[in-house]
Amino acid sequence: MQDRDLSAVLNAELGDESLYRFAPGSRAVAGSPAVLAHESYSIAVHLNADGYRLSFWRTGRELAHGWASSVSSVVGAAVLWAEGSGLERLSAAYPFVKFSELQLAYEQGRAKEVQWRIVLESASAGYRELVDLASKDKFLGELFPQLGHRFTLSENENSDHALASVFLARPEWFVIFRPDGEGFEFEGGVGVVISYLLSKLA
Amino acid sequence: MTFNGDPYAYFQGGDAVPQWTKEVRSAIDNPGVNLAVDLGGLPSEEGWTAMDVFQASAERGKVGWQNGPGTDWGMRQIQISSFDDPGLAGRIDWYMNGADVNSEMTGSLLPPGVG
Repeated sequence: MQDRDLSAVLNAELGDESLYRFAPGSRAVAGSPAVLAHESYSIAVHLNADGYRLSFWRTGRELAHGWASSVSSVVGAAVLWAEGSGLERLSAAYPFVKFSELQLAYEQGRAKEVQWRIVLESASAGYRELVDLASKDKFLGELFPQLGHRFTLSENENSDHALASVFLARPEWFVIFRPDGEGFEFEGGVGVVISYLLSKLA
Repeated sequence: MTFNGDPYAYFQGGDAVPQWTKEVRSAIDNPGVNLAVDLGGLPSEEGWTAMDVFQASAERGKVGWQNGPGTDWGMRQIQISSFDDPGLAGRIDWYMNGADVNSEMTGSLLPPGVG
C-alpha cells in the first residue's frame, strides 16, 4: 500500500465530518508514514507486515509508540491523542500504546528530575561516584544528564548538544577529549573531574 | 550492538579507544555474526521511516564516538562497512522499540545518492 493510499484508508475511517486528516509524511517517499497533525500533537502511522506501527508526538518529541492491528484502533488512538488526552488516558483506552517513565516525565514537565534518578539508579560501579557527586552539585545537578558509553551533561532536557562528555577509561580514572577528538582535554580521578567540569561549565 | 558495562568502557590495550568500539567493529566485520539493531530512542521526526532514522544517525556519527553518542557512531560503522560488504544488510535484523521494522529498511544502507 502506498503512503497516499494509507492516508486515504485512515481518512475514510475518520469520516468526512472529522476535524482531523491524515497526510503523507514529510519525506513523501515510498514507505513513508501517514501523519495526522493537530496543534502541538501529531501521530505517524507506518504500515508494516505485522500491522500498523504508530508513534505519538508532541511539540516535536516522540512520547509514545505502539502497534495496532486494525484501522479503527489506529484512528481511535490518533483522535484521542490529537484531542490532548495525555499518555495515561491514551494507554488506558488503547493498551497497545507504550511509553517510558522518561517520556511520561517529559509530558509532565519533570524530565530532568526523573532522568537524574534513572541515571543514578542505572550507573555502573565505575560511573556511580561521578554521577552521584555531579547530581549533588548545585550547578551540575541543574544540567540534564545522560549515561551510556559516556556520561554527558546538557543545558536542559530539550538540548541535543552535550556541554561535556566524560569517559571511564579505567577504574577510577576518567578522560575528557578535546573538541577535535584528538587527545585528552583533561583526565583524572572523580574529584578533579568534578572540579574541572565546574571550572569549564559554571 | 550493545556492549555495556565497565569492562567494555575501559580503554584496553594501551590505546585511547574504549573496548566497546572494538567489539562493535569486530561484530560488523565478522560475517558469521548476525546483528540486531534497535533504532528506538534515536532522534527522529514525525514523518520519518526507520530508514530515515538510520540515515540521520549515521550522518551524525561522522563526528566519531569521542564527540557524539555511541549509537550514532555504530550506525556510521554499519554504513561504512556496507560499501564493501553487500551482504551486511542481510544479516541485520532491524527493530524499533523492540518491534520488527525490517520492511522499512529495504534498499541500500549507503548515504542517499551514493552507490
